Amino acid sequence: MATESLPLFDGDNRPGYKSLGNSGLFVSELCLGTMTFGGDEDIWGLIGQLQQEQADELVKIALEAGINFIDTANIYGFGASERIVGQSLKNLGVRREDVVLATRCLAPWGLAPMPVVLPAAI
Amino acid sequence: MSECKASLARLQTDYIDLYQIHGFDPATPIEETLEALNTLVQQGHVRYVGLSNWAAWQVMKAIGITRARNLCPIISMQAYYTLVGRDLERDIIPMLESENVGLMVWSPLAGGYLSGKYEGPDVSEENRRAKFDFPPVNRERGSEVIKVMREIADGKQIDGEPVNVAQIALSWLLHQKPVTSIIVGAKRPEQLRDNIRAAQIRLSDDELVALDEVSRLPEEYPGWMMKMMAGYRDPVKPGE
Repeated sequence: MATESLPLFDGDNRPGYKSLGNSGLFVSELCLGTMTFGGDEDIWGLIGQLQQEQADELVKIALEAGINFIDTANIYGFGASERIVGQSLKNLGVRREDVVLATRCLAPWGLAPMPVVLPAAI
Repeated sequence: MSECKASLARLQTDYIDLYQIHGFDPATPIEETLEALNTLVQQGHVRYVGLSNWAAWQVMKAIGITRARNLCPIISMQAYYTLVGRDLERDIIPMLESENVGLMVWSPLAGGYLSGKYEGPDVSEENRRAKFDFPPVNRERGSEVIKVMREIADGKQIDGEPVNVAQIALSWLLHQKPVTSIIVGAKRPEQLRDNIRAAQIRLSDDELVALDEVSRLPEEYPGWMMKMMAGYRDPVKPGE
């Protein structure tokens, strides 16, 4: 593997920034992952069950360290991770344009093709 | 489309900087997915588009379709990559380099295996891996890798604190050219601070070589054949 690239650590105890692929989107070389946010008594709970206040603390640490990049996914905590991330940015008073927000989806949740279920009253 | 709008509502924002397809959906034609992503970009809901956990050929096919149909480009790939899981060096990394696609690394500590908590054959019941052993790691090879990582960590310090195996794992990734950004998650603030400090570590050429040698993938076809046949096509550099 090529090893000539060094971390872009900028000398101020912060991670550096790189453009993401062929784009003008500049992201920190560390990205805050949020799979530990909002898990419950399910598969996500094994990863983490952080609630809003604990998540706010992690987001704050990351942003203060120079991380501008946050990744989540619609499936994490079955939506709870995204809700917590959105609320953290509000709680911390972060300007939307200052962070790079990434999320993910796969396909419609858990839906195999099936007949339409009409409301019983009709 | 509807999943994206639900994400926007949960995130309390009107745009997503990077919208990624979490995995390859065998039930949906790639064209349909890419057209939908393009519409999201045109409507301003999404700025950039990425993929995650796709095979190299699938990404390459998607890139070809975006070019042929003039759709928004794919700028990033999110994939699993660690010193105990270098599988993406076979096909994915050469593709990313060829197409200038960024790489976001998930699970850079191999689901905690490289946190230093899982050395030896016995995994404690307390640990997450005891309940959810993921991503898969070849423990025989892994323990050799960790041994070298520990040797490198010993004697290093950052901010007056001793360096640990997890930080070497992150630092190695930061030294790999194709890697754009490493996704670090945490449950506790100290874990996150530890991870962030890893960005300050510099690995020497000798240390990088030692890590490379102990963790290198076994050769596989067509890699060894391509290497052999490409050898005599390498241009001779002046002065050699």
